[in-house]
Amino acid sequence: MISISEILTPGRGLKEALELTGELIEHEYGIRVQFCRIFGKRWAYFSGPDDGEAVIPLHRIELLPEWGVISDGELSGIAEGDKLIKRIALYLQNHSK
Amino acid sequence: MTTAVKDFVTNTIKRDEIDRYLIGGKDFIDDTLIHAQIAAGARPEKSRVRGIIAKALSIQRLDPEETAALLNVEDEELWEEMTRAAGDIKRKVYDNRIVTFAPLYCSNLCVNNCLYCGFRADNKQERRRTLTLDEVRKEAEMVCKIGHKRLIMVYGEHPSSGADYIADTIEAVYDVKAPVRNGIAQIRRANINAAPMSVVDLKKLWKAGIGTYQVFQETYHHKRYSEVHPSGVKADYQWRLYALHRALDAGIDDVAIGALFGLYDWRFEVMGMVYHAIDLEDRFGIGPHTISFPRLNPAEGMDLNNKSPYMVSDADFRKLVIVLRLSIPYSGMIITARESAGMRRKIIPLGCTQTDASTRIGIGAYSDAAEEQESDRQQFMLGDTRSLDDVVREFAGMGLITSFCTAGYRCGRTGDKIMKLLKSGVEGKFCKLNAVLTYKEWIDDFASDKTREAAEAIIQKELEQIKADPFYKNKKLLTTFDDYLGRIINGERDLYI
Repeated sequence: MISISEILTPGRGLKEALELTGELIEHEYGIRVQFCRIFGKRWAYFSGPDDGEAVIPLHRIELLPEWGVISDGELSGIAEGDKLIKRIALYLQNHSK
Repeated sequence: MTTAVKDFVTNTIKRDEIDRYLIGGKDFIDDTLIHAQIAAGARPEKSRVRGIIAKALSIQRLDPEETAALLNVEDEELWEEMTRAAGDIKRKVYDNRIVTFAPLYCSNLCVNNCLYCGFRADNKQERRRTLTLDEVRKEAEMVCKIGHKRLIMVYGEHPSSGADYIADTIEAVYDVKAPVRNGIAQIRRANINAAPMSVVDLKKLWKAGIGTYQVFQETYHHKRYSEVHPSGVKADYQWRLYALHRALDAGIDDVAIGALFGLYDWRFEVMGMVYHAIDLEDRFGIGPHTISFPRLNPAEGMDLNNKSPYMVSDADFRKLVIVLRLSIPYSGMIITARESAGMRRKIIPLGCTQTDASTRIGIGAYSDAAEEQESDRQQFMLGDTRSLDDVVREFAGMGLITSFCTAGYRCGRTGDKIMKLLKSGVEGKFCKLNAVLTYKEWIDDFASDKTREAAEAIIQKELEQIKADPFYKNKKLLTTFDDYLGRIINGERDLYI
């Protein structure tokens, strides 16, 4: 697997970057995630595993006011999880500019 | 007509936002072809019909020729098989639950002149009003106190209730917190039934947190459409036909179709809805989240409603529901309180997934505690005005669990994602858990003693099924579910999976 630094690069499309990030998290930590756009109470699907299964929504983290991540495991509980969350949020922030 | 209204009628339609979807200058409803397909489907072979039923049972959307064949079935035995299949499909996709909602009418000012509608501009008997945001909040609070979590908000087409107003009302209802037996109740999903809009305006609704965007074509037949929509923005068939395409392009990924049965031949309308679903699937990979099939009924000052040559009998109504259920098996199906209690009782087992109760459709009618219907402030007259408590109790007697779930769209199960989950039967598994969690909330916060007794028995039955289903064990969902249910029993609210 390529590293998170290689994934979250400015040249990569947003959807692809988040899909690869999800794959990396599942591969490294066994946690399934999907990224969502947040509008009001709606968390609209943006990217995630495309295997006909749902990500069990046990944890929800607001990365930014308009972006969230849903996961079946606690991302902040993994090694350097908080750092990873901040890194993804920063990427989304820069991408939104 | 005021200058503002004239400008609104002139400037609303963006021609380029229709033309971009046309193929060879034509829309996806070919009236001649549909009539020919219905005629060609006559006297279908039993074996062919059974093959089509099997396809629907595998949760595959039917092709128009297959729907046409079902519409032509005359054999009683086959109708029995189709009836059973309709119920089986519903349980496979949505499990044993029925979701309830409340309509909230925000305005009845309208620039259109639909011959069947009490809101039509020329209807001088209608008392016109657009609710202020405070009034909308008050209405939502009253709805919360009944126990509803889900709204369908309805607006006339008028400059006073444009996209900015609608977006403001969505935000207003989401802010409401109503005190109930155990803490506070809130609206968790606001669906919208409003006129077709431009992509720019639809983005405003998207940003405000819209649930599902619902636009009914009313009739898919071009000529009949022109006859019953003589003036106003709504006179443009294609502007309306592509309303949901624009919504999807604007980012709104849950959209809903409908037709007003009784305006034209019911078989044609069913075919039109199938074509609509196909075009949405082909272009966006997202079919209709729900399908509505209201029947024409009396409205103040509307002659058409008593004289239409296409009025749908109860027997045909039953058939169209069955064929719709089989044709678009993944979509939710909504039957409303337009129908009588007796009719709803007969139709719901045919595959319906959503309904309303404690329904008031007068502008401001929840706050006024209006018990009687008032034709001069309603779009039409209701057939069933029973309370939510009565309806929940009746459903329990029918073995159904009433669900107040709004989890999917708050968990990223939206758009093409939910479409896949519905087709694979996975969403139904979530429906079952969330139905129990929200049902328990509702029982503790709102149920009468009589209803509680019937509802608790349903919960026990559902819990036994959940414990026995390997899906929940394999996905390790039982621990979380048990935890959430325990916390709800202890007074915590709005826990969902």
